Parts: sequence; C-alpha cells; structure tokens
Amino acid sequence: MAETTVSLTVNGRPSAVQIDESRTLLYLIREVLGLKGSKEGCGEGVCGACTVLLDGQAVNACLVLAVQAEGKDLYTIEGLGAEENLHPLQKAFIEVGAVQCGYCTPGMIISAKALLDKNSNPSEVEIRRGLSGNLCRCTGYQKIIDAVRLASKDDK
Amino acid sequence: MSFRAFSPQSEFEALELLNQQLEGMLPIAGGTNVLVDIKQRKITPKALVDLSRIKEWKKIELTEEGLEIGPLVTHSEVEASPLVAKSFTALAMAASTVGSPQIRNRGTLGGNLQSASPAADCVPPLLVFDTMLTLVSLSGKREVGVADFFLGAGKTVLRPNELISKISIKNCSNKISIFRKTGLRKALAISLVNLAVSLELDEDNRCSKARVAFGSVAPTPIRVKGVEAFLEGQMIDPDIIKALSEIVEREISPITDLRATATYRRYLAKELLKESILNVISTRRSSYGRDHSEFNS
Repeated sequence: MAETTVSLTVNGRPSAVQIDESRTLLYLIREVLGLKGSKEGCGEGVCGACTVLLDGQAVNACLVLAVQAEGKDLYTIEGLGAEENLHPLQKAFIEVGAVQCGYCTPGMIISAKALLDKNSNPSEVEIRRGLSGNLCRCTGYQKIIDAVRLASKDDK
Repeated sequence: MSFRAFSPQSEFEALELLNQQLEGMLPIAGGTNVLVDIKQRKITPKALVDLSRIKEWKKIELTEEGLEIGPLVTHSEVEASPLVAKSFTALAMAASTVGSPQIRNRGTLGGNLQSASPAADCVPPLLVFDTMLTLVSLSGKREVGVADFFLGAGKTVLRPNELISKISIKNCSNKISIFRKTGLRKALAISLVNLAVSLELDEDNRCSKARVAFGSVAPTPIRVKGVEAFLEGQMIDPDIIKALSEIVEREISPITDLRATATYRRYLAKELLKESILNVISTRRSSYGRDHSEFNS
C-alpha cells in the first residue's frame, strides 16, 4: 500500500484527499468522499452506473485511477440539484416516471447531462447513442429517453 | 489488488521509469483495458506508469505528408476531428463505434494499438492507410509499419521500455474509405468481424490502389492482399462482388470462439465487404460522403 494525495475540484469545491495509489476514482468518490450517489454495477465499464463528469466528459469512474483525477474537475450526481431546487433532468425523470429501481438513474442522468451540455436539442437517435453506455437492469429505457427529451425542451 | 501508480509529467520521465525495467511495471493510458484486466486478474502489475499527463502526446496535427496523431488522443477526439473525418473517414467511423461514450472519452488510439486485440476497431483503418508508428525509448526512436507492429493476440514488437509516441498517416486526396463492424449489440460490442476498405478511384470508378483489412479473423488484424490485388485495375461496380466473396473465402481463416463460429465469421466477412463496396458505389453516385451516424444508432 502506498498512499498519495489527490487534489481535485468536487462539484465546484476544491478538495484534497489521501488515497491508496491502486484505488479507482469510484472508490475515491464513494468511500473517501462519502458521496454514495454514483453506483458500482459491473466495475468493468459495461453498465455505466458509476458515470461521472471529469473535466466535463462522461467517464466510468470504475475505470479511472484516482491518481488520474489529479487537478481535474469532478462532477457527480450530488452536484446536480438540491431537493428544493431540482435540475431540469431530475424534474423530467420524476415527471415522466423514468425511475424504477433507481440504481442506474444517477449514471443515466449524468450521461444525459453530458449529452445536453454538448447538444441542447438532441434527436431520439442522438439520445439513444448518448445513453448507450448505460444499462437499466429494469429495462425501462423508453421513459428514460422520454425524460431526456422533456428535459431538453424545459432547458430552453 | 495493490500496486504503485506513478504519474510522470513528460515523455522523458515516463521512459526513465520504464527503463528501470522493474518487474511487473506496466504503462496505462485511458485504462479502459488495463483496469478491466487487473480487476479480472488477467494481469497483476506491481506498478502502473500513468501516461495521461504527457501533454505532447494529445495532439492531432496536419503535416505536409499527412496527419500525425498523438498516442493519447482519445476515440472521442478522433471521432470529432474534422481533419480525420475529411481524409480518413474509415478511422473516424471506427473510433465512433468503439465501446460507449464513456469508453471513447477515456480510451486512446495508442492504447487500442498497444493492447493488440485481434478485434481492435481502429486497427483495420490504420492498416488500410499504411500507417507508420514511431516507437520511442531512452535509446532512441524507430519507425514500424502498423502491419509489422503486431506479433499475435496481445503481442507486439514493443519492448518493455518502449512506448508508441506517434501515429503517422500519409495523405491521399482521391481516397475513399469506409469501416464496418458487426458485434453482438450496438454499444460496447467486441467486433465479431470488422473491416476497413480504402480505394483510390479515377473518374470512371476504376480502382488504382486498394487496401482492405479485416479484424477478428486472425490472431492480429490483417490486410487481405488477394482482395487488394483483385480490386486494383478493376471497375468498381456490383458485378465484382461474387468474385470478391470467393477470394475472401480463400484468404481468411477465422476461428470459433465464445462469440461466434468460424462459419459465421466467414459469412460476416463476405457480407461486410459486399456492403462496403456497394456503399462506395452509392457514395460515388451521390458525390458526397455518407453520414456515418447511422452506424452508431
């Protein structure tokens, strides 16, 4: 075990943490920072439940070394909106009923945010492609896609 | 799993670390292959050398001879590059089909080469563009053609203290190229077969130079030289497809594995080549390139 310090911005706040060099970014987020919104599903980059934004790009936190996040801007589901001040994507997921068991939801919303940040009015094909790295084990894809489309309209 | 992780800030620092030749030391870039292999205990490195801070390896540059792509350029960056899309369409298409958005944002072109998967999607396009790789170590640089880089599945000519520092593709203005793949699903699919075709055509659709490369039909991605020789000098029209299929049948020897049988791979190889040739013909007719977004939906 070799510990190191990783300095990064977490949802807008500068932060520095001590962590074992062999840990992933997902471990840093969940176990060191205690932010439990990002989930571990497969742990191998297939399911997308751990999707976060790193310098604005959607990545699987399970496939990033914690040390690779040094100096970066990390954005997790906790940064999105508070209960009294929901993000348009969160509002849309509630309104459409796009949540079943909820395990994939944080990753889905982060992937959707990455998409909408680049393309504020995506087509259904573009939404499907934007979410193609996220699995929903309840298979409730259609409502998730509907919610992203609704959020893209609300955003304007 | 426990290992050290070093974060060199430059090419020189990375090479110095690798040159110590410590047992169990491995380079890592995007991590989308290396970390999966570690988690599945296929590899148990004692130390990782994180290359992701080497800034000079993240550029795509236009030169007089063509394009120079840094090994740390991600699949997303290849896909989004107007320079790549303009002259090297097959490479942009291939990059856009790798993994998922999350994987494409991390996985690098250098990593796709160095992992040496027989199914690596960006390799057939690099083969049909006669790409050269610059390999660097503390003792100097050497150039290797992509076709000579692979020794087998997971095996390359890279020495333990050596890294890919540059991917160079030569320009050609009258080239038309395409990439196709078949996987078990549309996202995150390891190709059952993939294919890149690059043709130089005159105004009458006669082919003056042909390059055709398949992935997943041999231990490494391969050029099919019999197909290329047949295409050169030919008029590219639908009549040649039957003969092409017969040559493909002779030139490839895929295996059966858990993803597909050899018979199915042979079928796919012929179908993908047929689709590609028909696509080239229709692209020529419509005079402008086909939008490749449909390959990703």
